[in-house]
Amino acid sequence: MTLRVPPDLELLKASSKTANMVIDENRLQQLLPDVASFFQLLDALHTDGLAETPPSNTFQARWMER
Amino acid sequence: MVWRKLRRQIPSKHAGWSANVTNDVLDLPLREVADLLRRRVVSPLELVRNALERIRNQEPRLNAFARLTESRAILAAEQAERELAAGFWRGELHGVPVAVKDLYDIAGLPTTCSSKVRHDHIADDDSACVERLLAAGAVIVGMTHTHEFAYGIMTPTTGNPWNVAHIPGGSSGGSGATVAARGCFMAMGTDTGGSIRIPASVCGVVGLKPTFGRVSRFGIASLSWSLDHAGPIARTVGDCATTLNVLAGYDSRDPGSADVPVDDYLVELEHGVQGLRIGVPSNFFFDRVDPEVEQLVRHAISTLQVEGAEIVDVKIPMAEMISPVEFGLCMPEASAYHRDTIYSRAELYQPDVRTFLEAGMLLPAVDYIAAQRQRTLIQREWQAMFRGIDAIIGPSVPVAATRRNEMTINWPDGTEEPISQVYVRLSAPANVTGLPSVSLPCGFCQSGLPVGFQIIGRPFGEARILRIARAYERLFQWGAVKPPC
Repeated sequence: MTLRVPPDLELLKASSKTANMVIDENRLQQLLPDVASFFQLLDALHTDGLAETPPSNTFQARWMER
Repeated sequence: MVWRKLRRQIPSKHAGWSANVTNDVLDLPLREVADLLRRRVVSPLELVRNALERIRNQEPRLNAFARLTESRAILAAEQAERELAAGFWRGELHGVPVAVKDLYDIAGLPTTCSSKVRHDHIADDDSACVERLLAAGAVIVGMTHTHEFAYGIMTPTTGNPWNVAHIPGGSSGGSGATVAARGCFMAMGTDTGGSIRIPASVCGVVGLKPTFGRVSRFGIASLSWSLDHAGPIARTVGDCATTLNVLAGYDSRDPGSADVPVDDYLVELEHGVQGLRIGVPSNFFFDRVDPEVEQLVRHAISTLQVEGAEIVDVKIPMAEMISPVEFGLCMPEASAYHRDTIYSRAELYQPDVRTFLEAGMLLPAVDYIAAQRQRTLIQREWQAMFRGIDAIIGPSVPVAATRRNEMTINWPDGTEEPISQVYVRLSAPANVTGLPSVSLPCGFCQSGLPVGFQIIGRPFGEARILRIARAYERLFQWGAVKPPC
């Protein structure tokens, strides 16, 4: 498992731009510790054991009555 | 115990609505008062008026309700009275005062999700659960406070009836508080990471999170489509069972709804636990748990063993993956749901919710997909773990209700854990796996605050876990003890 680089302010600026969100620098600075914490938590998801495992929400083509 | 004494004080049969609704009647479980209504011992109209008066008296301390719906409740009670007088009985919810969380749409009423963002949102149609409750003759007295948009475990608007300086849990904290305080007989909650079972546990009542897809989520504001469940909070296991009889069933309007036959959740309720095999985890569920909580939960397990259940050690698989999957699914989905408003009105959200939503906007899609893939593995592993057992048991939450201004827990091993993670930690497995879980009281800490334990079952195995819960509840009616509010 490769751990991602801990986020910094520049990364958050780029991420928020990619997400088309306008977040000022002060607010990004406030978010930084929480985002770093979430990234650390979510790093655990990327294990070698996933192999060919499909996502649990795989699309069903069957039509349902509405 | 206390409820048997209350029943003896109430006349057994009257020609009309001749018995006064006393505090004793308001304190009964739902199924007991349902019998009094059916036999016309108690008037639905008088019952709802007394319930509303009690709620109004409690609200300055508890603040459990976002809004009361008094005029609608009176009309519904009048209709119930006419129908019951004519001999038409809709079932055990007929004429019973209930509440719904301020996430459920009720046609013509605001559904604000306890948020300024939705202060002017009026629902066009009833949610599926409200449709079913009204068809069953239930009398909806109001909409209870939720942690904003269900995105938290504290419900900061509301106090715990056992000590209002403490949280009622969340996000269905208003529902937990009013049921515990005997304001109404059942209140609907939702559960994405524990939000029915957390308030049930810390308020000392019973909360049922059914199997994913068992109860329609149509018309309920979503937190996470992959994890949301709808279910009841009530005073007894039987009250939850009879409510599930009303709520359960396929609904094509909810893409997550399961087209699986519906059981009668009362049929095996009193069958006891003789011959059942119950797994007790040797890992995860008793890690970093308050010693008083552990002691009470293990006593509950021993009780079930004495009653005839075979207790089996089990090891929870992929335990370290539960929190990453829970947050990996919930955060992006919640942010996607709120995308427009977090862009334009972020300042209207409470600070904690705003942080989660903004952070969720910045998470890569591959994290979300990885969470979905790990969920597939977790489901397979849990299926293997459940071979040969009927249920597993553990604490609902690691600690009793914390104080309202407490943000972290300091554990004896020196670690510090944010409150939001503490309360979700043990309830998230049933959300990630989609398995049914019921939380019920198993005693009180020395502080006087309630403790709950949960029973997690097989998919669509609600009848079995309710049966196990009832076997314990028959011996220890902790829910009959009234809070001081």
